[in-house]
Amino acid sequence: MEREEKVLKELERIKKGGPQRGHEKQRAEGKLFVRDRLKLFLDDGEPYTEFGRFARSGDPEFAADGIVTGTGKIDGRLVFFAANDYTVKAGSIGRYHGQKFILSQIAAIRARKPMVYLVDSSGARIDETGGYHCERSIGLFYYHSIMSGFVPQIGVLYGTCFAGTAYTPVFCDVLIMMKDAAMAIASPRMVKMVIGEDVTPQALGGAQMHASVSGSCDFVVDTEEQAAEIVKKLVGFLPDNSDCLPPEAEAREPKTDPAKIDDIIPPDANRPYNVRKLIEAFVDADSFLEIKAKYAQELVVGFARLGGKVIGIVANQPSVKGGAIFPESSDKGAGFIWLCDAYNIPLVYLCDTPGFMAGSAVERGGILRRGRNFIFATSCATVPRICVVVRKAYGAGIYAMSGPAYDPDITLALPSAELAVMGPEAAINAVFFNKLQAIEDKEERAKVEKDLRDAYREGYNIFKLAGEMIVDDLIPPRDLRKECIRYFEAYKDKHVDRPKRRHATIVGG
Amino acid sequence: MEVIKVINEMAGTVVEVRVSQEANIQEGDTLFVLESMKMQIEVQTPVSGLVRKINVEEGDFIDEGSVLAEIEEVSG
Repeated sequence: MEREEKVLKELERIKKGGPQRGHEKQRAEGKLFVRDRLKLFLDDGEPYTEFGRFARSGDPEFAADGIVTGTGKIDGRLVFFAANDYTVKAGSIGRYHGQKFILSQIAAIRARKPMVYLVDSSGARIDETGGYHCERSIGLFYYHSIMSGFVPQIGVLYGTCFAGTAYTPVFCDVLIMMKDAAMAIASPRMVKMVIGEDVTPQALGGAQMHASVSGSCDFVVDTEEQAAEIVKKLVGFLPDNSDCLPPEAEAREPKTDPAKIDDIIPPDANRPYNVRKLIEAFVDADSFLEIKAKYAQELVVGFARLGGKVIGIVANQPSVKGGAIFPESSDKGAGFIWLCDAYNIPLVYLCDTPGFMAGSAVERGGILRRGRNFIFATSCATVPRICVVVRKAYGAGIYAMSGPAYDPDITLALPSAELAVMGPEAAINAVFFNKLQAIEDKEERAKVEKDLRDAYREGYNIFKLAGEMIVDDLIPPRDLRKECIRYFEAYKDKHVDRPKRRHATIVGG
Repeated sequence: MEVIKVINEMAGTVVEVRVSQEANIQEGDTLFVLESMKMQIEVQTPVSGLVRKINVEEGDFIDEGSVLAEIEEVSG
């Protein structure tokens, strides 16, 4: 009796976290205490299991050594988690703290379950972690790497996170940042010291910057509740591990009637429209969760449900930069496709692009090399893939967008589809430039140019292309959803064998 | 009053200038239409205010990152 009482009493103390001043500091920064934070995520408001609770228990100020680790259930699904306790030495990584972190990663690998990281740490306690920064006890990024593509890793960043600890957020498959959070390879103080630059934490590595410029953050949220909501949705989309299928849900009709799709796509091929409207008329109502919505917005990617089953959407966005593919959107597309392929999430490509962007700026940005990664990820993805030619499919853009030659399971064209090496204006200009310049009369030249363009356009008339089996089928837009649901059902047990190799030589696809 | 620069995000040719100097504009108004990759690209103002400077005319090739116009922001 007395022994049990002693354990209970000690656990009671540990659950209260760090000293009063630690709690005050956390409150002043508008953040929740780690155990209150966990309530937002976990069924029954608490961990299902928790280990290492007594870590450094002899020291009254180091409850659980500043990190809560264990498992919890999110809408009935078991996940592993590691959550820093900011009230203990600002969540810094001490000896047992680091060990607990790594042990929970190893446990998630063994148990083959997703891992959620709630990051709120000021960095390493240099004196405790050995000070050599390469002891085995701090190989957390090694395990991040080993886990990548095996079990999903989801991260939320609550505070500022500089130097080494900033790798945990970027190793996650999906990262959510609180609006005031920041991360950088070196803190503003270090930046000032080593290169002389004066910069604020927000300008250096703020959530907005990472969401819109660096592309390292997928979601920015105002509140901890919103962060938890997104994590729950993500867990709902992702399987336990790479051998499992993503969870199913009840099918819902789309928010917009698919019969409206034909009206959403403008008749003039040069006119922009918002592809999210098309997505709304295609997927289950309110199921679309866009990833990296503020980054490289000319490409829209995200998870959704189609007839209750999880899919990944890769869509050109004609209302931003004409839907052209840039170096940044190539990275965004490649990364998302690779994520979906790792976790058995079938892909739908909605193609409407004038192609990869041209010009000196994008060449300097590595459009060929980074565009290659996009084409590579698509080519190597073995999950079921459907290519929908919504409108423009010019040039190499259609390769990246899983076009007919890139081994999709089916290529479906809408009547607005235009598949060609390039658009009629560019093509006629390229082929007949001299001939047109030789016509002196301006009106005559314009007429000849128009006739040539019309003839060129007729050459890729979609009925003609469907007749020549360039696309597998031409469908009424209202049937798009129904057709995709049926094709995915047909291909659910898809299996492809590829030549045996150690791995491709392309990294970052 | 803060002056906001409207930066071009996509290299292309100006096909339409929809505003004039000193015009009063609302956030989201289209200021220019560019043609790039044979697509029409609308450039909108990120803020409401007065057009203080227009740096381009129809027919100009504009590189990514160039300043198209300067807007004096008028707060709510």
